Amino acid sequence: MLGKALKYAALAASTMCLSLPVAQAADVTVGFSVPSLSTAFWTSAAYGVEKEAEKAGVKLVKVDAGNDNNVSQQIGQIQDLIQRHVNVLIIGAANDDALKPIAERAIASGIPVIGFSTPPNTDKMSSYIGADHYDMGRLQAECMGKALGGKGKVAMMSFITGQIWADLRAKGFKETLAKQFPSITIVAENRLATTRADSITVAEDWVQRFPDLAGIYTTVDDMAGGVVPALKAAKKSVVVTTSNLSPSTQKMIHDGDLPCSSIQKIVEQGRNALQQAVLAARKEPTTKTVLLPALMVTKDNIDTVDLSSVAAPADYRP
Amino acid sequence: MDTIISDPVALRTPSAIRLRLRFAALAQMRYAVGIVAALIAAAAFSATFPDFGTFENAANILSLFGPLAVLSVGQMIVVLVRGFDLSVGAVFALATVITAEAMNAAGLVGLAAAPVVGVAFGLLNGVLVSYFRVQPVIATLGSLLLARGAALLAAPNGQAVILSGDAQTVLLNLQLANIAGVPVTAVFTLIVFLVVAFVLYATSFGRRLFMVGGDPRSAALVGVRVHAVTVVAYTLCGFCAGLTAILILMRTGLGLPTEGVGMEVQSLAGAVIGGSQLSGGYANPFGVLFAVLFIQTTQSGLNFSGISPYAAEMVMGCSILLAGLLDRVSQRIFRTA
Amino acid sequence: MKMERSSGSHSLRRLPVSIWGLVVIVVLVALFLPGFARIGNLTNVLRVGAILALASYGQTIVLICGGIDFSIGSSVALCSVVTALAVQQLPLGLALTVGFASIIIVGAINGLLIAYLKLSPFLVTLGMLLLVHGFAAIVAGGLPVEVPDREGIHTLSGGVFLGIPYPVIIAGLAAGALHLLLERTTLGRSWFLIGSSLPAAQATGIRLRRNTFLAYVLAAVFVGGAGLILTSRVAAGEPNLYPTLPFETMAACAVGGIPLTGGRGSALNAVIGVIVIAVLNNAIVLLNFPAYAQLALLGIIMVGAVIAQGVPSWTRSSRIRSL
Repeated sequence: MLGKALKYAALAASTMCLSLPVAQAADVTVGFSVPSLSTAFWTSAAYGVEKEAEKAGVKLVKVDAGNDNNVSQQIGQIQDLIQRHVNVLIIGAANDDALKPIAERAIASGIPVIGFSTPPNTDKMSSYIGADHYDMGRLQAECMGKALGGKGKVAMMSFITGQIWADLRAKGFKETLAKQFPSITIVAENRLATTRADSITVAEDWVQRFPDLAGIYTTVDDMAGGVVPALKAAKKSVVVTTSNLSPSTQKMIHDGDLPCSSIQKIVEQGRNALQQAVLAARKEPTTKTVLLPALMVTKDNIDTVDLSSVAAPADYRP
Repeated sequence: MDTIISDPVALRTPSAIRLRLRFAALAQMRYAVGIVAALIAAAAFSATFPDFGTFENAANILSLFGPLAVLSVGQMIVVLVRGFDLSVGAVFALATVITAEAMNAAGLVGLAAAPVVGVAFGLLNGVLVSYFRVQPVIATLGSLLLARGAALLAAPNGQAVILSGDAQTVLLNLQLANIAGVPVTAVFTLIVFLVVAFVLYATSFGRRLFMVGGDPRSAALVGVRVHAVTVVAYTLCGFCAGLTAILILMRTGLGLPTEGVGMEVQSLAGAVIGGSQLSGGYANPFGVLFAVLFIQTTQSGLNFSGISPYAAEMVMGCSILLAGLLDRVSQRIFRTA
Repeated sequence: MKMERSSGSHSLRRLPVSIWGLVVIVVLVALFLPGFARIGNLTNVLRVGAILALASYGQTIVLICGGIDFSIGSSVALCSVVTALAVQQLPLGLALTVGFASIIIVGAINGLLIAYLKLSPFLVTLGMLLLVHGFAAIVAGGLPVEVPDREGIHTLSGGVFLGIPYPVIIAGLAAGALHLLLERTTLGRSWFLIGSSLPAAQATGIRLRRNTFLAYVLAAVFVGGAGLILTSRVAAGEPNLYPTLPFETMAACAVGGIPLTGGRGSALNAVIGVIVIAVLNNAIVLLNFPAYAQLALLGIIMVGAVIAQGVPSWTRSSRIRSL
């Protein structure tokens, strides 16, 4: 009874525009800041965070900087979330160094920060949840090496620069190829294509420039989703490897158009991030690092992988 | 003809004075879109969120609106002379990279690199547009690509350039500092606007800018060097992009070669919601100031709510259309009255 | 009548300049770039160029009328999103029709605001750029909406007839249609007049508002073609499908010799400009430069091409360039 009365009082107070710390309203508000919800990765992450927030009964405020490049926009958005007095922040950084000062400012003002996948570069975080991106690149290289029989020309679509995760995947791919498949050569690398249309154009130009091109590495499945059908339509047999597992990628693996995808349990990471966030908001002990392993999905094991922990369902809208 | 216009009696009748005042007020109406919209947005969000209508949040919004504001006022100057600049986003990104590297090499003095880079590209744009007679869209699109490529080349491996130790601390502390509750960055921004206003309204160069924008041929006839004025206008815009780089450095502590994509369109939005018109001849820095405050207020409000940031984009689009409509209405009343 | 003819002949006189530019660039690229002159590569160039071409035809019409269109990048994105959502309930053909209609609606709104309310084309289309993109992104939920890989979605962009890709055929036919529209119809000819001198256009008694409105709607028809081919190409609804499209079309028109000041231009101008841009884009990928040098080089070549073209005109007139 008293609780209800308090809630109404809080509601009345808030409609009267009184400044009232949210924490007093008994429940927790989680701020979730990501570079871009137009990518399969962050959408699946948002799905995991959102589902877990529903389960835990906490309020979630998602902000999206609109583009993987929009560092300054993301800092502004986090500044707004601090003003809104959220109780805890989950941050997937567009740039880990650039997000460091604002993350430390949040922590200094009493808002704990959970790093997600690409955390702000600070050791003051309550928890970090992520996957091993280097390993995702390594797995792609192993898959590519096997599919090509250890030799041939490969081109890389490595996504834009300044994205730590993309750099790590590319590094894992290159180093593993050099070590395990020295007869495979990397003939071209593109870091400008990000949209699906761009990826298709670059892939089509490559198969003209290098008629004997055997493989194309793609950093994310948003790219592969355009490249694979385009090459198929052009009747070119080029092995494409990728990372992540959106619904259309699952279908391509099923149909044998894509030999493999190296994945991480994105939804699972989202759930973990929210759990740690709630713990941090309630000043309870958190797990410092939750690192989920990278996995390889092929036609053989795709039916046994628990997809609900990997990707958001096709009809989910963040 | 002369006698009719300068007839002292006709001009001094109260009705004539009232009419002229009305004209003057209507002509200024275009510049008021921003402030009205900003007030409405602030009121609406304050009614929805308890933490929005606070002095603390006002300071927050003021600390965030600087980069777009400075970029927009630069854009306003080239729009005034019938041009526009698509390169501003890429140019300030390049400026952050060069400046970060200069500061790592030479300390705080390196900060001077930012306006230098901006001025260099502004000069390039201006010379291409005026002396080489390249259309503004081509000239500035070309510099956009050039600046973006240069930014990625200048930054080792295309990565962000981290400011080393002291310089970073100094800049980041400046971002947090405030004077009587007003963030230092906002003071910086306001000073830029006051200087631009001074140049436009109190110098003969400002009058020439309006003349070139209003009617370049007549301006040329009365001896204004149209080409030179145009070059200076673009250079000032580039200078503003350089200043924006300093504000971005203060916020991030990094030189970011990939920053600023889409800022050219946003800065155009800021300029036109603030009352500029592409056919030239109109500019009011304070109209632009409030237009950008409105944009930032809307974005912050939507961040408070967690509503899709794309809604902010739609609000911006609608405001531009409304600005156009208001512009048209005021023109009409002007003509028929 | 006289004015129209003079503007037509003027564009003819200008034409050789940009054609020479095209020839020089193609010859240089073909000489120094292994793989460029291969049939397969040329097909690529034309297939990508076809999309830019259709969108540029739309921009050409609008520019001739003295207007400008910033909204076409957002409207092709809207087309892809609408199609991808509609295909979940409708047959493919119908879904594509709905997507096409969405572009026409954007064009009609542009036209209504510009022709009947007399708002500035720059403001209207800039506003629509943001409005339509925001709308498309919200409707799509931010994530690319996949078009199920049914038989047929790739046909429009990937199909071939007698060895020529469908998009190239469509762009070729559309160029012919645009030429006829501009040179052989009173509607098309009135656009030149509207763009070069509004008072003169008013004096001749043409239906100014209707014709301006139709310019934006017919421009949208061409842009719609680009939207459909793009949608077919990516087989998904993407809010960020082609954000630089308006700038690329303006660049293509400018390189082809269409001034952004209105009253001049032709289908051939647009085609030349598009081929130059498409060849450059392709060459830059083929050259396999370090990725970052590619952008800078593209910028330099583009501005250089326009300056080189403009050389003869510097001495001819002292008209002040403005948009």
